[in-house]
This record gives sequence, C-alpha cells and structure tokens, in this order.
Amino acid sequence: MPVPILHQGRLLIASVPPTATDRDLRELQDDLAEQVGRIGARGVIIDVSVLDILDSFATRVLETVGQVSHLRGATTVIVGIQPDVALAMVQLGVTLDAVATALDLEGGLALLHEQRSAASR
Amino acid sequence: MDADTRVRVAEDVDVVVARQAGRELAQRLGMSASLQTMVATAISEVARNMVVYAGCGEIVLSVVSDDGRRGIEITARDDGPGIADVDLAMRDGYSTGNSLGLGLPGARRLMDDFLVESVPQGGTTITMRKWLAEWT
Amino acid sequence: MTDTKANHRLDAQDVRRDLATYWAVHDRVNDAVRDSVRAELRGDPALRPIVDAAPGDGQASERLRALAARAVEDGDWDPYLRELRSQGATYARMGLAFADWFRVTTAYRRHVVPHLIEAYGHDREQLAAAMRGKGTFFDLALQAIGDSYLAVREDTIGKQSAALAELSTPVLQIRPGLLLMPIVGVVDTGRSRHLTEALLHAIRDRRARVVVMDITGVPEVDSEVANRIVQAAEAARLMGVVPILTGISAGVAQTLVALGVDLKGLRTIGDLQSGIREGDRVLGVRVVWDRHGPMEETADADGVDAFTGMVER
Repeated sequence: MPVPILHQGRLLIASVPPTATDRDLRELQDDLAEQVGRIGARGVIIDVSVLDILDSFATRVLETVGQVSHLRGATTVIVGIQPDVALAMVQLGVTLDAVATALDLEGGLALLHEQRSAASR
Repeated sequence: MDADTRVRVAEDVDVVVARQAGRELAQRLGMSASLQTMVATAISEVARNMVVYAGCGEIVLSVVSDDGRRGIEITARDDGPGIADVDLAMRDGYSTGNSLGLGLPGARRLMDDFLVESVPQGGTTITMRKWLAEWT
Repeated sequence: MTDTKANHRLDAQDVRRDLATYWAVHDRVNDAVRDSVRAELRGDPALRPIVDAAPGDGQASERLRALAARAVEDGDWDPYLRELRSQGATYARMGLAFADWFRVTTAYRRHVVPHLIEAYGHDREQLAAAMRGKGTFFDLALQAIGDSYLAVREDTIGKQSAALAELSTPVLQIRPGLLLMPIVGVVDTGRSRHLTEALLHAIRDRRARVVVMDITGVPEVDSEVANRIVQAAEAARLMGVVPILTGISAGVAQTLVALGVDLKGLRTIGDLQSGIREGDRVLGVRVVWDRHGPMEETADADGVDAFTGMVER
C-alpha cells in the first residue's frame, strides 16, 4: 500500500503507517525523489509517530530520502520518533546523520523555517 | 497457553507479520514497551535477511524459562545459501548484497542471547532470546 | 508444596499416626486452649490481632480447621497447606510481625500440653505420639506462614526498588522546552536503561527541545558509563532534542580522553550553570524565528544577547 504524500505549497508531508512493508518504503523513497523535483519542494517532513519500530532498512530509506532531497534543494525532517523506538535504534546501532529530527509536526515546521531563515542570510 | 507461534516468511509483508507477532508475545509475557520494541526490531532484521538472502524460511516464537525467569525465544530457520563466514557477518558494516548490512550484529545487540548456526548451501538457523528483566 | 510434604514426611505412616493422635485432642480442646492463650497474652496489645486470628475464630479459622481435619484424616495436605499460605500472606500484608506469630504459636504449644496429658497420660506411647504430632502440626503451620511472609516481603522489596529507581531519576523542567536531568550515583546497566527511558518520555511529555544532562554527581565515569550516557544523548537527539552534557570535572575529562571515548559530537560544558545558559541560547535562537521571522541572530525575544548572555533593554 503506497504511503500517501501531501503537498502544502513547497512542503511535502508523508505519514508512514505501521503496516508499511520494505516495498512500501522503497516506493515512498522513489515517490518523494520524484515529487521534490516536480514541485520544487524546499522541505520534506516524514512523520513516523505511529511507527512502532525503525529498523536498519527503514533508517536507510530515511537517510537516502534526506540525501536525495538535499541534492534537489530540499531539507528533510523526520518527526515523531517515539521513546522506545529511539531506544531500540540506538541499541541496534543505526544513526540518522543525513536528516534532521524533531519531536512532532509543529517542531518539524519550526525547524524548516529556521533553516530557511539561516540560509537566506 | 504457551504454544509456539510459527510464521512463514517469504515476502515483504511477512516481515511485518513476524515482528508484530513478536511484539504481541512479548507483551503477553509482560515485557515493557521498550523491550517489546527491541524484540520486534530484532525479528524485523532477521526476517528481512531471510527474505532477501534465502527466499523463504520460518520464524518460531516461543516462551522459555530458565532458573525462575521467563523470556521469549525466536528461532529463524531457512534453507538458503547460508553464511560463508559467520564471524565476518557479525562484524558491523559487513555487506555482500545490495546496500543492506546483514543486520545480524544489530539484532545481537538488541537481544540477550544470540546464536548463529550456518552452513554454506546448508541453510541458517538463528536463535535469539530476550529475558524479562526483574524489577524494571 | 511437595517439598513441604517431603520435609515433614507427611506421607509416612508413623507421622500420620502421630498427627492423628494429636489432632484427636486438638480438635476437641481448641476453644479452651485459645481462651487460655488469650488470657496469658492479654497484656501485650501487639499480639491482640494474632490471638484473635488464631484458629478457632470466625470463618477463616473454621475453613482452616476443616481443611486440617481433612489433611490429617485423609492425607490430603495440599488444600490445607495452600490455605495456610494464603492466610499467612494476608497477615503479612496486614503488617503483623512474623516474630509475633512465633510467640503466639509457642504459647499455643505450651497450653495444649496439659490437655494431651489428661487424654493420654496413662499411655506413654500414645502421649509420645501426640507430642510428636503436635510438633509436626505447628512446625508445618509456621513454615507455611514463614514462606508466605518471605514471598510478600520479596514482592514489597521489588516494588520499592522500582519506585526508588523512579525517584532517583528525576527529570526537571527549567523552563518550557528545557529539561534538566541531574544524574546522581552509580550508573549501572539497569539504572541507565531506566534513566534513558525516563528522559525520553519526559522529552515527549514536556515537548523539550534541549536537555541538560548533569553528571556532577556521578562518582565514577569509565568508558562503560560514558557510552551509556552517550547512548541516552543519541536517543534524545533522534527525538529532535539538543543534548548538553555538563558537570564533567577535570579528572573525568582526562579519563575520557585517555580512554578514547567517542562522544559523537555531544555538546559538553564544564559546569551546570553554563550548560543551562547554553540551553537557553539554543532555545532563544528558535523563539526569535518562530515569532518574528528572520531576525538578528544575536538577540532573542527576551532581549538577552545570545553571545554574552547579558540582558539588553
């Protein structure tokens, strides 16, 4: 089942459901790459607040989205990593270096604005 | 009540099924949310390996006890090509295939007991256990 | 329960015969014995609840008496032992001291003897059997009650440990968005897991953006401890928080360098005060841009200079 992507001006928002399979994540990665280019997005927010785990594959997808979006001029923020998911990720040994993180959607938006303001000076 | 749960893993969606089954069993055992997530994550890693490298296999989830404490045991068995060098595979950053590390070292870090038995062309069996912590 | 039966040899014929000999008298004189025990222990108020609870009173003791009869007569010990344990657990939770139980049963043992002599005095063998049976009967009761006291005690300790662990990992909110977690004492594996969970839940519940972790109160920081702290900080970062580590003494700093510990870019600041100021600075930067759009980065909404920390008005 494809992960739905919302447009809001130059912002793309995707909310990943807990039932997403590896294939769904790969498709999300491709869809986002395509849409970032098509609408000239400046920001991408991926909401993982209802994901009960983030394993090595999912983390790799998020990192890739971050890197690809960056190359096409957009900043990516992952929002909503839950406490035990964060704990398991650290134990697993995965890191999110290529993307920013925020507590929730509001935090993600604030971060995007902040980055844009910094860039415009 | 404590009959084993068996999940046949052959495609993507089975990885999700297997880890959700693991979470449910961990929850029934009384594990905290963070332990449940660790168990589910470790299952996700080994189940994915099975799909990617062996095509298909089976994951068996069971409740085990030892010396008064209870835990969950996960046995992931496949008849795939096996791991030629287990030691190498258990080292972080090792990868043969398309971009994914084997995830085994990560799964080991998440679990308390971890055993890999593999014979080239003879399949792989991964046995891992997570114990219920006391007083936490 | 099998152990108890084996320990007291309840399946042996001679033991059962002794018990039956004792029980025949016990059952008959129970009320009288209870009254004389009461009379003796009347002076001690602490023992009142136990004496009142002693066999012979009310539903609980009637149930016990019936089960004891079945045990002695039919050899069906499990229900009786189970009931003893269950009642023992109740008294333990009520707060009655085990030592007081011991005093009451000791008194009971003494007060039943004249009745045994009256019944069997003419027959030394029967009297000896009854005395042995008495010993077995009360030993059983004390063991069962002792076991349940132990079980309740262990359960309480477990709950207290959990509560203590929670108390010892407070996460304080200094101001909206800024949390402080003073880490005090030894940081072992169990505690560090607990610490990290408390921190991450607080981050989510209070919507923190900066977390100051202060280790002034941690006596020993070796590479294990350092790694656990770094892991907690990494997890906090995944939730979008800027972690700041404070309270690193000169000694600890040297140890960390010598051990080659990788702090993974964790911001570290010597003292707590400076750490909080740094946290304010991080927060301040964001507040400016949220409310006023792009602005000079040296000032925040409260008029505090982001570099010098001085208030400008």
